[in-house]
Amino acid sequence: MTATPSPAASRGTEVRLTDLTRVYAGNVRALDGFTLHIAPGEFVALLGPSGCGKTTALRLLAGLEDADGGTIEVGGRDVTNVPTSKRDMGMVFQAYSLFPHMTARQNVEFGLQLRKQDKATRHGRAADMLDLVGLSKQADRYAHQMSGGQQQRVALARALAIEPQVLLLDEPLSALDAKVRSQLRDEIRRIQLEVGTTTLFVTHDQEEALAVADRVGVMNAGRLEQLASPAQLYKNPATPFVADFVGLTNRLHCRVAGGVAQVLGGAVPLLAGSAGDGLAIVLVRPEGVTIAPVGSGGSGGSGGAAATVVSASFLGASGKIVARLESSEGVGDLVSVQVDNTDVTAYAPGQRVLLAPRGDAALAVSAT
Amino acid sequence: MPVTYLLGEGTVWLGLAYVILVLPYAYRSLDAGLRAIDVKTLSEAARSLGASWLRVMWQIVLPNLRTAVLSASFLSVALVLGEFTIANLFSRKNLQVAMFELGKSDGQLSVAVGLASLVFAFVVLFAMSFVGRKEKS
Repeated sequence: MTATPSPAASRGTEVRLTDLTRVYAGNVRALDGFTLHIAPGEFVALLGPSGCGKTTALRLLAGLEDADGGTIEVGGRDVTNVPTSKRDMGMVFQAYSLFPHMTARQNVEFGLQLRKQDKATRHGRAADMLDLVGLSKQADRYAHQMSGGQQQRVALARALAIEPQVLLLDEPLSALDAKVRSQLRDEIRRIQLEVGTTTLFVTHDQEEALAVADRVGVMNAGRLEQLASPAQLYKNPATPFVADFVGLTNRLHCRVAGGVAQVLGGAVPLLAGSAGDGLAIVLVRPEGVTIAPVGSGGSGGSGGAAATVVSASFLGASGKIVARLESSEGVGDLVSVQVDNTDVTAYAPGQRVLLAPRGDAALAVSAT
Repeated sequence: MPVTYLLGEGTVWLGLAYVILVLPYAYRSLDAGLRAIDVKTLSEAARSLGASWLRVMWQIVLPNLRTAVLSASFLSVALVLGEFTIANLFSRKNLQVAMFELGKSDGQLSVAVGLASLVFAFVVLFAMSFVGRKEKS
């Protein structure tokens, strides 16, 4: 792509949300002391279960809702009481939001028209923007003549055309099917890097968040649980909630002593912030567990925990084995193990296997 | 007539009475139009792009309600043209009564007016079907 939005490049605005509170009718605290600082040009994703307040946070920043407490600063200016139309935010919504009576080009030009730009400038800018999202040929189409993915691209072009201070993406991919979704996701990231606009992206899809963002904020009950880079978030979750929410996790009962969990016949060091000694539930990632048939002795030599295979599934790029641990008291925990797709056929339901934690890849956060 | 004692014979009052009479019918068609578009998202998108509320109404909501507004207008015109009771209460004649009285004095003119009103009704109906079709294409 050669389209370069000249002044927007390398421009980025700092955003500071401080101690935001938003209370809905019935005393529901959608946001409860929410604080977030986005560096200029940074791409931050807010991730969380539905009802955690992530969309509310974005709508407060956009000015579509009023905060009940706290301040919003954009580029060093307090905009807490500034109406939406004066905030200069580019927004892409979950629902298709193109104006149905305008063509793609007219949609993109709408914001420029409001900024009293002359016709030639508007045309040029709209053409650049449509080129940026790869839709130059569809410029004269109406929304109902375009696919969902194309409509969201135009919406993105429309949002970026006004050279917004901040780009706000409110689950823009949820209405699309899987393939288009991952395509557009990568494209959003490419475009964001190209124009350098500070971006806040709200999603409930962790894969999306981890794939595109510089930093991901995991939200729970109106608060930010952890804000970190995707890799850090995955490998070093600050709280059990984050460990449980990001990535797939096994919940295993075990005994904890001195910051080490005795799990799957091995000792796994607990991450900081875990609960103290005693019986606990420890979270271990499926890729942090090794599996070997009983008698093969191939589980790293350290023995491991005996289990019985419940199911073996082929998932395309990888495979998943689910096994139930043998337990002297009651029913043992179920453990999912990620394996190579070629190894799936080596296991069948009913087969006895040995499970062991895989060195440093094992993650343990206790969630008592 | 009792109503004219209370309110006078002002056209304003007659107009007001008709507005109230027509409201439920106009509402029906406007409501259907509003349901067909996502007003909330569209207006939020327009506001984020910098549009004032007035502009949102004028440039975003109204253009998308064009069909609904037009059909509400046609419906209102049709309703008011055929209305007799309220016009009579305000000591006025409606179209049909005027034509009837005209027929008693001048038969030819009455037929001509009748024909003209038929043509008018035809044109209105034709225009209406045309407007509805344009929106779909």
